[in-house]
Amino acid sequence: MDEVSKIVKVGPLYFDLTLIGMVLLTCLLVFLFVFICSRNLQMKPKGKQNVLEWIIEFVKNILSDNLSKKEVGNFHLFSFTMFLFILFSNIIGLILKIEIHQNGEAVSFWKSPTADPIVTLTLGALTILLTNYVGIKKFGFKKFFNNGYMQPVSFLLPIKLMEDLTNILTLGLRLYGNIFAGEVLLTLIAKMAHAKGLISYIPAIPLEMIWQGFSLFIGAMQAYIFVTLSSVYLSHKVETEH
Amino acid sequence: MIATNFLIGSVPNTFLTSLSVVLLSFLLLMLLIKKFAWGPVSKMLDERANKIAGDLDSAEADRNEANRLVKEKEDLLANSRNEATTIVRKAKETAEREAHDIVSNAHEEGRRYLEQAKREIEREREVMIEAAKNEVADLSIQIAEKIIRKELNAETHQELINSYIEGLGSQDES
Repeated sequence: MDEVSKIVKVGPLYFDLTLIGMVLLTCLLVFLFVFICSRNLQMKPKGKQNVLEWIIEFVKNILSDNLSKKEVGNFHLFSFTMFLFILFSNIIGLILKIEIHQNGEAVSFWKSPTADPIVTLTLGALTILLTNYVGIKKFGFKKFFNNGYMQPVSFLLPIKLMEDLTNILTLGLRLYGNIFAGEVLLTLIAKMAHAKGLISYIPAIPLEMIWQGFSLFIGAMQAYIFVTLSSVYLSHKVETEH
Repeated sequence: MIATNFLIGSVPNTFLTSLSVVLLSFLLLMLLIKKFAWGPVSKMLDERANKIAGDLDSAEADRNEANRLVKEKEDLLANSRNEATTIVRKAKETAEREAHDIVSNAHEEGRRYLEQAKREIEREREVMIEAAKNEVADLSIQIAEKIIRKELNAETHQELINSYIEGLGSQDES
């Protein structure tokens, strides 16, 4: 695609304004959602409190499938935040499409943060770093290194180190690919709508609706997959292998 | 798009700035959620779990208590029934014994009265016989005195009295 983000230069650094704005907007929405849902907590939940508790339980169940009960509490908040952040990121790009044409370039002002590889790889790297950090904190560096990288045999060390890197890539690029592809097709359908006037505009509407619905499903699916995989990677680092 | 983002050179490189923004905003988001929502919600979840566990425990205790009370009442009921049966049986036995006593007493008394009556009749008859003997003796003496004064002697007189008394005795026996 020939569309680019709005980029400004401050001092020696370039800032991707579109990306920053959308990341901040996503964070704001996630925080508002959680904040509003957690007001007026009651012993007998109803309405918005139920929604929040359902998501918390959902994330907890994902973690419980892969981690021992003791470990779940340590990563619950992280995975919960990650799940909501990715979910909102995936969905937010489906709502709008703002494009401004400058100097022959289509500058985009609205997209999913997760449709950018930098964001998804950052999240993936953060997750893998966390798994290593938690493993070291739990076992101490020597034991962790032995347990995580030298088992079952020590010559697997290079492969195990590679595995960390590929874990970052699989986490980040799967998410990026899914969401980016969804956005591309949404843009294509929107372009098709404008191509031939009214003749193409009317059939484009249900097409866009169907694809948005599917992308919504994909977005939720990817958030679930991301949390599931990160809990699997976590379990590799914090559970001793025998 | 990957190419433009990772390429260092002619195009502006936003890799580091974007990375730091994403990282910082994510961590900030996590901290804010922890500060404003996570504590109260997890506290509430824990409280609810505890409450449910407590309710289950107390329900269990209540059920045991109820079972115990039911058993107690059943025992009491069974005891009462046994007692009632015993009381009725005893009462029946007492009544039968008393009735029997009364009847046998009545029999005894009746027999005693009968015997007494028989004895009295016997005595009465003996007394009457004695009286009659005396009277007859007196009468015959008087008669004899009157006859003697006229014609009879002493031997004839005696003979006459004896035969007369014998005749009275045989008359009484018949």
